[in-house]
Amino acid sequence: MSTLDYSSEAIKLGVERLRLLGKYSDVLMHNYYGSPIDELQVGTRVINQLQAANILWRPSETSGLKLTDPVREMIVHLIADEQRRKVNADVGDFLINIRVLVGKVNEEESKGHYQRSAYFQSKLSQEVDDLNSRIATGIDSLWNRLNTDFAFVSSVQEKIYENEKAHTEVVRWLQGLELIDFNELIHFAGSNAGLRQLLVRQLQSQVSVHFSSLREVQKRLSELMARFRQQQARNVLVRGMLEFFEQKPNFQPSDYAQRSQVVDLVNQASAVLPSAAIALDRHQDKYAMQQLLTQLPARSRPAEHQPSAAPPVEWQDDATVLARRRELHEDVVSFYLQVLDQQSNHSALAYLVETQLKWDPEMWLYQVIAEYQGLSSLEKSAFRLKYDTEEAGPFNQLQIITDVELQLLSDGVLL
Amino acid sequence: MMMQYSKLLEQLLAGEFICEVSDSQGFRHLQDEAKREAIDQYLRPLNRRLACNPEGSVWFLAWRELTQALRDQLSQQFKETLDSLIPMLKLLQLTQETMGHENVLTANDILNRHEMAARIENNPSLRDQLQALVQTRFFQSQSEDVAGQLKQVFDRLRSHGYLHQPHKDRHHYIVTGKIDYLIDLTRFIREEENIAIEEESVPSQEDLLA
Repeated sequence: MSTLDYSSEAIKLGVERLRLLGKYSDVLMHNYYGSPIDELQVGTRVINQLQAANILWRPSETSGLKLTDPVREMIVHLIADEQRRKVNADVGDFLINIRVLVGKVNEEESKGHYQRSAYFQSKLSQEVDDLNSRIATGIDSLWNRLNTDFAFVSSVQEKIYENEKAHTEVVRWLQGLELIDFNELIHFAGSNAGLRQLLVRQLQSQVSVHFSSLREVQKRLSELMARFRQQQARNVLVRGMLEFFEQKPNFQPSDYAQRSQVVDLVNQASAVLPSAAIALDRHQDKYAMQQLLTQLPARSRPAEHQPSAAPPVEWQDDATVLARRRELHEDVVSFYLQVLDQQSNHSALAYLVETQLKWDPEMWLYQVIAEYQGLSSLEKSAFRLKYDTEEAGPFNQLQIITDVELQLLSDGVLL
Repeated sequence: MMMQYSKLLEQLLAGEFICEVSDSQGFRHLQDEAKREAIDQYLRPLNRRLACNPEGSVWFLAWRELTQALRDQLSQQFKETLDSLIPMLKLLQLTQETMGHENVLTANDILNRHEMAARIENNPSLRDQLQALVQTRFFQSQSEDVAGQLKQVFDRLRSHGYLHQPHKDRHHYIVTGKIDYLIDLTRFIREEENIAIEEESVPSQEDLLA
């Protein structure tokens, strides 16, 4: 505090005016949000005080009182009102001040006025801190807007506008920072260690941090903008297409699947439902299978008394079907008789061809086999059915009967 | 080697759409080109291949080689999708209005069925919109009350893969990437048929960056 003693009047004034802000904060905040100040109610004396303190001003004779720029700006920062925040991204002023102050420091030093030189050096240090805090606050405010997705405005359109505004701010900062020429600063500092520390080491490292923060902000702004635009495009698309379909209820787009090039969007392969079963031929799975078996719920024991059975279905055979069936039966019996007559083995299919019967070969084979199964055991011992089979496919070992040969047996031995 | 993708493959073969919401692990596999290559190799004899929407936010299987029979099947399938398109777009609008969202539903949005039902219940215009929606073939519901109608709508959305329900006994649902697919398809139709849509005029990003 001791270094501030020379301006104690200024301190007194500052404290007095900060008090004014506190005392009339209510009126001032109302004015911040646009309601005019009722001069009669507040009183002329207070109005004069506030005007003298540069808190309120009157833009023209006829207009009402307004908050001055610095006060409004301060409120904006205090309540983080991103919508009204303005950033002074002007680095040019800073550079002019730096040049003037460096000149003064060097001049006083060359004259041997070390105390004066130290005073200007501390002013220089304040100037550098000012710039730093201005950039840092600016970047903070940008991050704040980014992290809330510009929540202080509601429509996507406004968000896009705010994003653009923030983008311009970043560009202005970046352009400003590029104005700082470190070669020039190194030259200024010359052999003065203090200046070198302040202008070269300190400022350079701070500026490089700001640069990378700003680049990051810029990248994030662009990403966010892309998202806003995508959302906006979707909103427009959904609304627009619904309007279109309402106007043209019978609209039919062309059949994109019949074009020479079919886009993936309309090329969706149909579903396959893969299924798998237990492989009984794999020894290593035996244990797992046993486990599965034991987990099967126990079968409930059948009731002692079977419920009375339903009456047998009356099979009302169609007369023609019955006749055909009898015909088939008789033809097969003739086949058996012929084998017996000729005392030689005979292929069932060959017989079918020879006799030019019209039966379906599969049906014929089925009936020949069925007839054999129906023979009494004594009759059965006179015949043997030899099945000609083949596998259903190279990977399917299902045996399909292609033909049967009726063979004659005598005392269980082939003739 | 394929064992680790068996679940993903089964889902894909069953005709499901894979996105970050529906199957985050499977979706991560699909971000890796080598893995995609391996899966494609496996699908080759099945005449199928991996396909995605333009942004790559959702994956599904497409036919590798098209025959006339497959084209006819695709035409049929496209017709069915078209039948669902208007009801789906109307549903998007209804949801946006009901929930007061500033944007159309998008992947990762969370919907609470009860909350939505309560809001529709209290608003005659939204009730009418829902009533009209459940009379379409895609959503058809015989239910008289809002809760029943909305349940049917959500069930349909879930079975078509538009919604993911993380807990069976809770009423919140997450919108999946399949909605992106639907929007992309809508955009495709719009571009192909040169359908004019009134757009808000917006200064372009290029102007701004200049």
